[in-house]
Amino acid sequence: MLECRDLVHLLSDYVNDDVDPLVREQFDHHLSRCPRCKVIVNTLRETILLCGELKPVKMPVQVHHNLRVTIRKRWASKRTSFKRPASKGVEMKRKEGREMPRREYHPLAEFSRMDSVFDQLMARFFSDFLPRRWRGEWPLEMRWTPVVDVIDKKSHFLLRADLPGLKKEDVRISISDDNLLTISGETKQSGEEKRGDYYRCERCYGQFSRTVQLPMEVIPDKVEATLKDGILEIKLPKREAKKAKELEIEVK
Amino acid sequence: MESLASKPSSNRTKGSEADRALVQKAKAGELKAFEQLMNRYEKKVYGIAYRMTGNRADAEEILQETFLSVYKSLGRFKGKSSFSTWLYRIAVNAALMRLRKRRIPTVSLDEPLTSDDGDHLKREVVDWSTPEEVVERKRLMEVVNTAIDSLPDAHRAIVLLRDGEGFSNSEVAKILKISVPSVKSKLHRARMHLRKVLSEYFAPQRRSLKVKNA
Repeated sequence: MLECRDLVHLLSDYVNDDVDPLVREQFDHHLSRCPRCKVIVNTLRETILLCGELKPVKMPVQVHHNLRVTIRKRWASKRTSFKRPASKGVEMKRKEGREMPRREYHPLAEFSRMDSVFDQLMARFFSDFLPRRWRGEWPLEMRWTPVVDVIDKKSHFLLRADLPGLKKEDVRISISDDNLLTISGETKQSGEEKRGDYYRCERCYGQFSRTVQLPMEVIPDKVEATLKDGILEIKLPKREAKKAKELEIEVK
Repeated sequence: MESLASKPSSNRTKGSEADRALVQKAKAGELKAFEQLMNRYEKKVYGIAYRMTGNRADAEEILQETFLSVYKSLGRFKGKSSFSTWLYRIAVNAALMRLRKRRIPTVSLDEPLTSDDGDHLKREVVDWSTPEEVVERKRLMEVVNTAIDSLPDAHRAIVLLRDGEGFSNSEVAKILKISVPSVKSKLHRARMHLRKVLSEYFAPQRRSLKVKNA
């Protein structure tokens, strides 16, 4: 004898008339004496009917037109018919490429692809193996970073930086609250040179910026900076007390 | 109940023969035939895409994706299954892919639904299959819609295909590339869940009705 419990899992199939006749008979019998199951069967049946009566979703005319436009465009770019049966492997891909312009195949495209791979490799080589100051966009203008020494002179630190060809007006120095010293500026280049054909281009032009973490707090008011013969020297008196705000220091 | 069982019948087979002829013509390069196929199915594809995603922009994109994909792979369509099965398969897949991208599933697809199982049968059941008062039809369909929306994606697809579009279990299985028993069990859970939601909708109304009578 079937119990309610056994029937639950068969309900959907029963309602769809998708059960063994023997099971069906027992099912019917059970329903005749179990009002609860009868209700569940009825409401389930109604549920299914309701799902079938969902109003069709209204599709805007614009959607219809857009689809036509898309397909017509594709159709116009197609040359031959679809008739050729698809075979396996590389061959199939080539054929498809000819029949349907999924992706244009161009014999020379491989070379340009290789070119771009080469460029990427080169770019990676430069960024990985060359000093930071040499990195950047190749032709002429590039960001560069001056090299620095920081020397402990007991009462103060001495920072030396190579800034070849720079005038003091072109250099900015600042110290932030958290003891970061930044030297920045720009090396200029005459317009004529920019246009010239280079045999070698190893020197750097353009904006530069270098930030150095100072080993300890300094007294910003007493910092002195001098620029002579393309070498910047900054004298940074040590302090262990309060922090200083970011401050501009004039270059003598 | 006979009407339920025999729903996906002669109409569909007649249609599928016409589809086959149109597919042949489209394969030969007849744009008109392809457009006729679109005329036949675009609303259905749009409808199911909309019901799956609940979003008109997504529905339109799925519709476009579907027919572009049909166009691209028309040459590979051998006609082993009917065109509509094949088409729905592409459409439902596109919708499921979109949904998968959109949201991280929070429920498992195996045990996602709180449907009526053994326990529930002991509780009081509401019979709303023959409602005493006329429930406003529009309101009721809204409830059905939200209930379907609340189903997990895979279950919603099955209900829409099976009960909405009238595909058979085996057709649904083909469309979703899952086994027939899997279709059956998911369908069962989904239907029972919907039934439960509808029962909950009807339950309070009945109670208030009783108060009125008393």
